[in-house]
Amino acid sequence: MAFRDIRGYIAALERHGEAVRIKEPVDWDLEASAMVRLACQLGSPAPILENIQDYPGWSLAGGLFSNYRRAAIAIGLDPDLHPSEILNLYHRRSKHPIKSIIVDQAPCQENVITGEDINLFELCAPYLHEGDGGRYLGSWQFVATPDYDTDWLNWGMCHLMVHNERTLGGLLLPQDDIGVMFYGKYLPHKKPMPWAAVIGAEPLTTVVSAAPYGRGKSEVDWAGGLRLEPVELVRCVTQPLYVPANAEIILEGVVDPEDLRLYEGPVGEYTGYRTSPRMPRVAFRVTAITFRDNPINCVACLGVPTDDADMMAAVLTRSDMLTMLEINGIPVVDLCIPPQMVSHAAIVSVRKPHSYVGNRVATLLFGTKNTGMNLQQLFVCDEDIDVFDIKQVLHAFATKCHPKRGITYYDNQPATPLLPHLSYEERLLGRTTKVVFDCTWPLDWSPMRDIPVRGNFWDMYPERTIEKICDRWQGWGYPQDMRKVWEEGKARASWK
Amino acid sequence: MHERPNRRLAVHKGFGWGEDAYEIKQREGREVYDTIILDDSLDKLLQEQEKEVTFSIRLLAPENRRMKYCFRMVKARISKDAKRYPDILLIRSQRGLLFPGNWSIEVLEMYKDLQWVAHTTGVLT
Repeated sequence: MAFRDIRGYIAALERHGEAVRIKEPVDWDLEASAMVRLACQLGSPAPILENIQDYPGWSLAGGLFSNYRRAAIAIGLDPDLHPSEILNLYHRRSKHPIKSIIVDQAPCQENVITGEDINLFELCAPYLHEGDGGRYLGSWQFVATPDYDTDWLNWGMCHLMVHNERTLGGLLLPQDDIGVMFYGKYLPHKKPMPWAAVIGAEPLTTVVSAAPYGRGKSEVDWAGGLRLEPVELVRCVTQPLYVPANAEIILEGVVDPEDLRLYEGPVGEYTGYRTSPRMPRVAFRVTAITFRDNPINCVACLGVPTDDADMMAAVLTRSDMLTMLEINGIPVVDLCIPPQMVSHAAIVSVRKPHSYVGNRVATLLFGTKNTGMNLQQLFVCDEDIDVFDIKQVLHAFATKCHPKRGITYYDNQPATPLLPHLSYEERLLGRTTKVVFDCTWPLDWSPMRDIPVRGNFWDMYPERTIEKICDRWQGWGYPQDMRKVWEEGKARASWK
Repeated sequence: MHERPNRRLAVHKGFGWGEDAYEIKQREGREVYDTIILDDSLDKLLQEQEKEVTFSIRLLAPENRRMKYCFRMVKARISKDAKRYPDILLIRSQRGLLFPGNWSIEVLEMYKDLQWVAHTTGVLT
């Protein structure tokens, strides 16, 4: 069942022990975001801060989508499922979009501020990290923009920094859909681009905005497909576009081609560093603010793993990558974008139809914008590796990847300038080198002479011994229910 | 991951987080602002001293606390000497590190408009 709004989702997180409500006063100036940051680093429940200094009636909620359990809850699944099962359901649902519906009345318009009364500092925007260039009103939200000459409505996620009472600054990359709309259409025609920032929509609606769905394709329908219910949209108050009716806060405005650019940043980024320096950015002028009573501002305090950005890549980019591999006939068994590696690495397990399948996977994933911009390191494993178990992957890497033959570099690849390992010149050019680590046994190796049997409990003992030990494991005082583990996995582990 | 404090990078030692701006204001009776420069050293900024410059400052201790971190474009004079001008100016690098030592500032005019990139010259934004 889909959540109607972020409030329903937060209540579900709380029921599953994935969120805590904090009613003591908390300062929006660093304190709130520091709490979110620590909770993310510890893997603790998402803090829902209901008593914010200077902003009575406002709440801040952070880390709402920062682990696989929360991803499962968002889509209505058992949070204890294996990540692969959760993510495969996302992948299947993403293929069946559902059209949105329009409503007349919307909770997000319970309060409406326009004209001279607009003051962004009346909204509770946290100061996220010491040293950031400003307060970020949008950190886990998305910006809706209509195409210039078609009925395409695009959603995209970008930071929005508060400059003054009516102006926000944000990064519009030319290769992103919103950048293509602005630089390719609105700017040449000297027309202002309408936009609306949507803060605090139910989680799936927010999450889909972070991944490119494809030119001309609406993330709104994708969100409906993930929810199994249409997204309810309402018309904005001052701009010709539609936004989710049950969101907490909507900012409406224009990016005016007549406006010059503003310096924005620096800000702590998804990479785990303050990689976004002070740079010229686009000015988002605000024409209206609408919000629910007692609004909740949703906060992503980005930094080292694991936070919302890491998880969104783990869910959405994985789906894009799977699609790319499927349509090119790669016999992929499973795929993981480890949240600990901030979307810069992917691990793929494959059955091998021919030699160097790892390099085919690499060229496919490195070569497309959706999957390749962030991806730097690709690990390709045999089908006997659980790609979600980093310890298994590290073991395979250390034992199966030949230090010379197993590594292939791809030079002069396009890259996001936020990659911390790039030199200053490489950041300016957006240029990097990518690498594939082939952690598979060579196809021409003899299984009798060259490929060794792995020395783990499941591989080195007969099934009757495994079964006997698993049956009695808890009886010996161990906490794990190994009988259940074996029952669930024995078909997969069969030698037949 | 990162459940306990790590060692600090040696190259970042010496860059603190600064005092609470309201505490400075209360103690010294002076306004407190900061600015973010487009460089990683103060060398170029030293040349901007004691002449009229137009750039953005952030309000760090405004009367209405909700307005903290609001940008204002100002025409001002600045000095590395912390006592030369009436108010305090803190300097941050383009990646957010706070330079040690307060500067001083005399705000000659404060505008509600913003400092646009095209109007920026030199190291000040």
